[in-house]
Amino acid sequence: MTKKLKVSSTAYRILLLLLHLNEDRFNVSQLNEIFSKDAQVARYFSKDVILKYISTLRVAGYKITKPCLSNKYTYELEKSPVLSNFNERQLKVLAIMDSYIKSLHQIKLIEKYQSFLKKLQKIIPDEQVQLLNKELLNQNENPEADYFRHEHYAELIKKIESLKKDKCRVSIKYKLSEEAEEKQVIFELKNIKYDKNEVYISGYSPVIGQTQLIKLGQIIDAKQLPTQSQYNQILSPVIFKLKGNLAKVYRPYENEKVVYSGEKSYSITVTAYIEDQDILLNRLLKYGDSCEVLYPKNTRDSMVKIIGKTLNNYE
Amino acid sequence: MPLKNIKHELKDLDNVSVTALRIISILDMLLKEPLSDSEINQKLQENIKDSRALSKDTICIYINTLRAIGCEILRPTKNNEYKYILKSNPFKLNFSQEEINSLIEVRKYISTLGNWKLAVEMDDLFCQLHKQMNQESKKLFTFLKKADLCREIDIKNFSQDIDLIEKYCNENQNIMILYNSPNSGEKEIVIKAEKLTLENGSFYIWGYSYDINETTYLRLDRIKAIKLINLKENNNKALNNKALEVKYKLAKNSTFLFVPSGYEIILEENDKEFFIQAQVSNKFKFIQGILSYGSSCTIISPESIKMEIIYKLKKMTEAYQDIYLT
Repeated sequence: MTKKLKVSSTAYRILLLLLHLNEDRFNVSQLNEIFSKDAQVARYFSKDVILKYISTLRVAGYKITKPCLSNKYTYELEKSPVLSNFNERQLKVLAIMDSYIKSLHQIKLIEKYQSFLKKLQKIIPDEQVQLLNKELLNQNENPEADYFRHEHYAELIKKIESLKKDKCRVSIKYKLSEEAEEKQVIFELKNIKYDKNEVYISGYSPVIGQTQLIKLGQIIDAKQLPTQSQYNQILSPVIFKLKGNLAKVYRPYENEKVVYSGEKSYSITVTAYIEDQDILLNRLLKYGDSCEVLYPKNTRDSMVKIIGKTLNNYE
Repeated sequence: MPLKNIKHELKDLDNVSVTALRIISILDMLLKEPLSDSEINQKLQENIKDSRALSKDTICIYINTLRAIGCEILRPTKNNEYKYILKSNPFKLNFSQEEINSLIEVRKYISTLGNWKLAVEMDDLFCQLHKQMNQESKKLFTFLKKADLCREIDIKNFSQDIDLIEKYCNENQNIMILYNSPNSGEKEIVIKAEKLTLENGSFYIWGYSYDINETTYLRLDRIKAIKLINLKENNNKALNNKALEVKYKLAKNSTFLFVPSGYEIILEENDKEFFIQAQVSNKFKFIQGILSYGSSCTIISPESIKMEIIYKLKKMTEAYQDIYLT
């Protein structure tokens, strides 16, 4: 049995308050909930007692916001009891990250990074906060930086983000190239994906029963349909075998599982829950004869077809 | 630290808990330095005027209160000059899943850009941020990092200083690398260091290898040791004409958005195709890239590369004989 420490009950409650205000903002009744759920306290207090505790923290030098309509009548600690120093380069990296996040044009990501930065500023000394704010401005105004790669998709990304939020099926018209015929797909949107040169949307097509990626540059129009999305969590599995040196060093990608390791001749079997078959096959082609697609049959057939067509290029 | 310049007089401390004020003051002091009972007493009296001297037992109760809230405080012993030492505190930040996700998303994006330097700096920043998170946020951060950045090599796995490796690359130094190869175990490789890259989550050093007479690339996390070496003049001559000139054509309607890399130029283009000339310094990597283009790409010259691609494609068909036979 552990020995119970003799403590000052009031001070413990005030420190408990400080601990929670350091993590978030709370109103009086939420603070009372915290007290009631704490094993050492386990009771409720009058508003006056809680105000006395807040007052003690203020006298101790902690800046705590006054509850008002704009902060939903909550108390919030402006600066943490324990500050942490970040070096100049780290502050700059935080600012660079802010600009890169903005360059992705997703409102939710931008808002969440802003709220992360706001929380982080609680533990950074004031002079460093000033430095960080200066860096944020510098980066935002840096014309040489690589922050404008996806600017031409800004409106489309915002539109897709809003369509995704509504969790409805969408109808997407797209063209693979300028000369190609226009195609239309019914899509249950999953994600917006980025790479060095392109932005894609990934989604499940209930008509063809597969997930796929479409380049934003190929989209002509995207419209919301009145039907709710139902299957957007479904990913199609593809199983492939890797052998030799590649099998030894292979690091699974996102949504991949190494399901079997061969013992005698070194080989592994990988199940990939893929969003786009073409992109997976392009990657597997790179592995040459160290890779064999096992399942499903149509993906195995597609691989054979690509290899055959490529060989025909040289006949 | 809030109490730094705040002096209180007992008579002014109405509607506050003086005990809590004293304990917060002790926490503030211990955050700066380890202190003995007498030092705590002395500093408390400086901060709170007219405050009486506290007994050892009272100070012990105050320290226990800090422990109860989650502070790890070492007992005063002969070994620590009878001082209380604050080892850790519970005042950490709480981040939501979406806030942490915004960090992970931007790190993932930087990886796709291949910006190795920024990726290293972000990983260093993430280590610092991790220390500032509460337990729940730490768990969430580790989980999301593992799930969404599963292929990213952690910079903690580098045994060598990456700034020094960058310096060797910038100066094109000859270096001997002790490399842990997954195929042949530990071996020494001599290269003329050229550049660092980040590809598919792994960091690589590129350099001209005198042994294989070709540019090679090695994963930084497999490097055990690096040392500078001096090579004789005649060895350096091997560096001439190291790149192989390859011409290929790429269909425009493929799934790829072709953007020439530093070693490629578009010689010609029509409605359907690009004609590209590449200076190939690493044949293995180049062939991998060509294969990934599938039927959209055809090698034009030289014949040796063309034959190698055909050989590889024929080898690939062997695994699918069941389909070919039917």
